[in-house]
Amino acid sequence: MFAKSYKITEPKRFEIFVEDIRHENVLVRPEYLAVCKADIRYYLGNRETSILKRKFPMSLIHEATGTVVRDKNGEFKDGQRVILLPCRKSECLGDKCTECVRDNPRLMDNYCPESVFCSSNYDGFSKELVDVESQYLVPIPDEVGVEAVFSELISVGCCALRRAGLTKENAPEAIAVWGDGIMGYIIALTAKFSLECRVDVIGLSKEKLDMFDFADVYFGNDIDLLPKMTVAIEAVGGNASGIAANQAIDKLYSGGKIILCGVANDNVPLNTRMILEHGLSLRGTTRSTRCDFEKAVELLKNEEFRKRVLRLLLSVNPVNNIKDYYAVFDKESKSTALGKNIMKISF
Amino acid sequence: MNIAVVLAGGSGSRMGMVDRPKQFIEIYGKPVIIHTLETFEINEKIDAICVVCVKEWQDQLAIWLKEYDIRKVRWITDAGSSRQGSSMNALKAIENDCGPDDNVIIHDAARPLVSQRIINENIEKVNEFGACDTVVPAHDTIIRSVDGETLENIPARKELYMGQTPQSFKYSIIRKAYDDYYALPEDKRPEMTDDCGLALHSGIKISLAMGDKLNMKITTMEDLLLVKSIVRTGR
Repeated sequence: MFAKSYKITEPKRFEIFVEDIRHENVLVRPEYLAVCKADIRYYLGNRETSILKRKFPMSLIHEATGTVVRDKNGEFKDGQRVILLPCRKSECLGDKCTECVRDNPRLMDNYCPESVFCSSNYDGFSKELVDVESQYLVPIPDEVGVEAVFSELISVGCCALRRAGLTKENAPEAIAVWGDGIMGYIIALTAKFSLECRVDVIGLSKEKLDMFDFADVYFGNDIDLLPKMTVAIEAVGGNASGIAANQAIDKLYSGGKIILCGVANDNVPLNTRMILEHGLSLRGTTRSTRCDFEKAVELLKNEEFRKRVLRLLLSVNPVNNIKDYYAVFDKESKSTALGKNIMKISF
Repeated sequence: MNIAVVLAGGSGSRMGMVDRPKQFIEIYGKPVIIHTLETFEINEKIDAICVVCVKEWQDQLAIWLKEYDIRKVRWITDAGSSRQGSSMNALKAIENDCGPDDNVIIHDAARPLVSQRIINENIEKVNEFGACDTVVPAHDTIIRSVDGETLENIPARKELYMGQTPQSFKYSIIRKAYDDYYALPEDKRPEMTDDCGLALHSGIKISLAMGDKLNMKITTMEDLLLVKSIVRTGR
């Protein structure tokens, strides 16, 4: 069936495409979309030209919820609200790498070099309709509203904790999170509610740190009072991620670990001497997979957790045409507030 | 209840094709009418569909409905000799299953690019105002000529819109307009090209729903070429 989509064809240029969608799995109408920093990098053209040329045209957005229109296999009901998962398992037979990572519980399919990710090397959800395999959909519980659109971010937080090997049972007394942006907020919140330990957050903006009412907060330029810790999470991103990681290196007990979540465009210098001296370990984490989304949904069932996620909802913007779509990208690319301006699409 | 009426009674004479009307031409392996019906089929607000179809294509249509898993079509009724006749046949076909406050969303089968937004906006407007027409603002200057040779006048463009479909009404409103129309002696019935024209003639106030340039009607071979070149395979 025919369905409209918006695709980026060059920086700051979206075009309308009409596609013939084949209904083979579950037909879903995307409804709420959130713009990610990665989407903004494509929108502003903040990637190498050769990379952009290879990816465009492409539908952006990988944080989305939608409504099931029809399921060929009857697993989902018509009208059921779902989270759309952006990771797509590769069809690789596992023979391309020396060791296949897909069955490794710490890595799984989003570390498979053959996997694809919506709005990165595969079309995202800026579409009137998508046909999706049921394994890439997670039902939204009735009590969860528009805030479900933050599930992908929450799942990234869950993935970071999973990759650090942290569970409620083995949680340390406290963990420290560097970053007062949306990723820092979500990771700190996820850690607080899933590990039930003290969370220390280090940031630079008083206004933003005031929103972390579930954590102990410290200013990044004055961390003398910050207690030492065994686990630190860097969620700063950009070139400042190096500063954050080095502060964490100074504050970790011997044998501690740093989970790196922020994306830096340039190489960042790290105090390797202290890493060696204290036997620290660094682990990178990005994106998430299905089990992380399921964990995110479990967290969203908690009203206290949900209330704090809702604080990130700056506005819901009806998007009925491409002008409305541009307007949200423009707003998000200029926003410095802690939160997101969400789209409610109806093309 | 929201009932879509899909009009597929045209002959396609303006396309020059002799083997089939335009609404049965295939676009990328699927008939135009099926593309159109699929859009109504997947709209969660549409409860049922009535298709007005030329008699000799009704069997084929029934086969396609099964093949493409179109489940909401509850009525297939004969086309009339005019658009008004076809719409009236649809209104009669659904009358026993339809209350006066139910909505009737009348759409051309030859407009396969109608969007979910347009359908939803029609339903919202008809719920609020009782009748609505789908339009797009006229971006070209419209020229009026009576004799077809000289310019008569140029109406103010900001007041002009191009009419599309769906055109949507409360059942009781459109039914009364049709009953009034057919109550007139045949030679007194004004020439109408669509349902809104007829409703307007009955004094009904009609609200506007925003259409879309892409919601074009396939009338000529050039239109078919345009639609084919717009559509790409999704992934």
